[in-house]
Amino acid sequence: MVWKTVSDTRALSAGPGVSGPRVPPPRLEVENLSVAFRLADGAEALAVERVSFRVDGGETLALVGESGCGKSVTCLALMRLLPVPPARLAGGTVRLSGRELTGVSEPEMRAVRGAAISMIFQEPMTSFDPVYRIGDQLAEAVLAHNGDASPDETAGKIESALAAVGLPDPAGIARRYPHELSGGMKQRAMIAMALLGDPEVLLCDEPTTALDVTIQAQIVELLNRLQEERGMSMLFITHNLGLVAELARRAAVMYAGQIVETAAVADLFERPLHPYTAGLLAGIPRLDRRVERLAAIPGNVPGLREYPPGCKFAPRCPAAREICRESAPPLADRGGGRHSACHFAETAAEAAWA
Amino acid sequence: MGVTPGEPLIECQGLSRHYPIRSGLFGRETGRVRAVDDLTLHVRRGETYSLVGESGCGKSTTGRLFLRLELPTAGRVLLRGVDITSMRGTALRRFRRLAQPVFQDPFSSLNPRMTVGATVEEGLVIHEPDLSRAGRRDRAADLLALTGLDAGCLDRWPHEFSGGQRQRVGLARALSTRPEFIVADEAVSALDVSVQAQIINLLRDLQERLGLAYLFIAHDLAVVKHLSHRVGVMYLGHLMEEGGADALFSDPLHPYTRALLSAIPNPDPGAGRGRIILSGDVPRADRPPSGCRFRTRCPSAMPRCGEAEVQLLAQADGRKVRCLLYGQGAPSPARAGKGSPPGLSVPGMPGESAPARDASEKTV
Repeated sequence: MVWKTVSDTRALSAGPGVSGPRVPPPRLEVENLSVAFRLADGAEALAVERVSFRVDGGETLALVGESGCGKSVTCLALMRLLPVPPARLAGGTVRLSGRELTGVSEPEMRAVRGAAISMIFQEPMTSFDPVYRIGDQLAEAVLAHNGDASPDETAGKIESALAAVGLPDPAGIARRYPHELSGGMKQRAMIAMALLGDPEVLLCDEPTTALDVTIQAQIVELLNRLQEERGMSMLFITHNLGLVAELARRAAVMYAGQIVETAAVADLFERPLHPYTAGLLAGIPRLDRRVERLAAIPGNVPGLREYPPGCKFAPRCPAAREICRESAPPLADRGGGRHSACHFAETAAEAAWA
Repeated sequence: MGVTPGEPLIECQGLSRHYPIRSGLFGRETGRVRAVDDLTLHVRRGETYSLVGESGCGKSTTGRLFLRLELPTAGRVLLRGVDITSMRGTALRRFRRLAQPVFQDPFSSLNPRMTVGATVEEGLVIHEPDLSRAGRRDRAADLLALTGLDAGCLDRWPHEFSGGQRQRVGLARALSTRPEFIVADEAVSALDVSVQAQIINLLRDLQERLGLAYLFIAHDLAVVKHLSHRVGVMYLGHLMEEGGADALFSDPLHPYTRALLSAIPNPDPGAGRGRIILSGDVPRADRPPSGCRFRTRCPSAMPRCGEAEVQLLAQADGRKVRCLLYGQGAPSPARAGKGSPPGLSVPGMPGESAPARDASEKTV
């Protein structure tokens, strides 16, 4: 069997089974994105290495991985929010509805950010400036893209945005300071702010991780509803496999700066084709089944400097063989819209944690 | 679970911790945060009792009260029947040896200026003063081995370790005094998924080998189900439901427990959702709702839920629920008798129904 190396991100679409009769145009296309960081001693390390994916109109792609795997850096690189230096775009392209974003100037990028593409963050507590009222901070977002808006117009926009995310008494909320809102309310206000520019793509970087589960359930419901209403595309970054199953249609699993597997969510959970994905799934305790002992992936997530040659997961992989330590497996097409970067994808994932 | 729990090791009766809110020029008390209110529970030898609930429910304060890092406003904590809140001198030192904490954040709970060896040996200096330096070091190496680290780690510094390894060091430190009871406050919450599974397995292995009792405080219910024998669900300082882990998770009784369980995202794309989404936030702890504290968010709330404090009542199967839907014919504010109606108290669970709430003898 010959595995085709992914050269075209179009190959990463959901596949014939999932996409309906009318294929929506690609909203966000990322191709071979690499981000390097200059370390304290002057050396450079790749935090994100040749990452490719695409998000179609109205769909949610989950970017899954543990801390340090590069999922947030990928997201910030898309928004061009990484400080340069120490970060450096080491290669790749980002296209938004066909428009190339990698070369555009900073002022042009500012017009895109918050308008065509927007982002919400993990920490609702620190995402707002504590000394300004919520309304004033949202007004900034309105005026950034529509400088001519009258005060009344601005206030009206803000109130309808706050109402759209389910906040009671939007006018009252706009007058409050961030510390007067609970975590869940702040995250709603954050989402309202991100949606002010009516974005085509919303990047969500662990937006519910800091929230209690009952509040998380509220926010997930809200995001699902907003996406349906607006036909918005979402890139949802998380380490929570439960959220992946609930929110996303497709998922990309990252490990040590690379995408190691992509698949439709149902396929991914049903039969992972990478030992790392399989290990993650076997290692979480679950409410709906009972095991005596969790299958734990041995060792630790490697730091930027500790990336091994060959397959980066090999040192922790029970199914690793000689070739795994020598050559890095490419993210290859496995059919059915699936891709896996493993030399033994068909067998290793199942064998590894048996 | 592998171990069969033994007799009660540590328990609390009518335990409350209220924090005064002071304001104004003279610091007059203008309100009270009832962080923990009238809590009665026990943890048996070799048992994992988990406290779950959302932030601010009082689960961490309970953990601190069980360790005597905090003194109760009312009620008692008893270790093998002896009240720890009045302990002094040798008795208190002995208690400190027997009860140890493991904290959430392995990055801030280890002293960055102490080597791993020094951290693990520190407790031995106090609790086993007769041990020689070499003896202490040998013990520290043994403890590290017990938690899956090699002796080479003794002279290394916390910053050289990953989160999971640091949590192993934290466990070795806690085990250095040969404790019988460990309060693990969100001990696996800060860890990555792949490392969390390792530490969960380690906690279970240690319990089996050493017969440890855990008070496991966590918000991740899937982890709790996996590790626990019994579970208590807290909301705004009150215990809302308590029961065996299997029964509680397969058939939650209290509407809050149900909502909490249904809020967990299920890692199964094919599963039906059927989610109960609670509206609003947890009310402020200094102004809890009258009557049942959950009634403002409860999908089954009735007018009489607000009329009087709802009691935690034992059900036929030994579980306890604080809800008018379960066996509280009429809201009776009178705490007459022994708390639970006759026939509902559970045999073989000392300290459950009998000693009740003659509390408030101890006020700090």
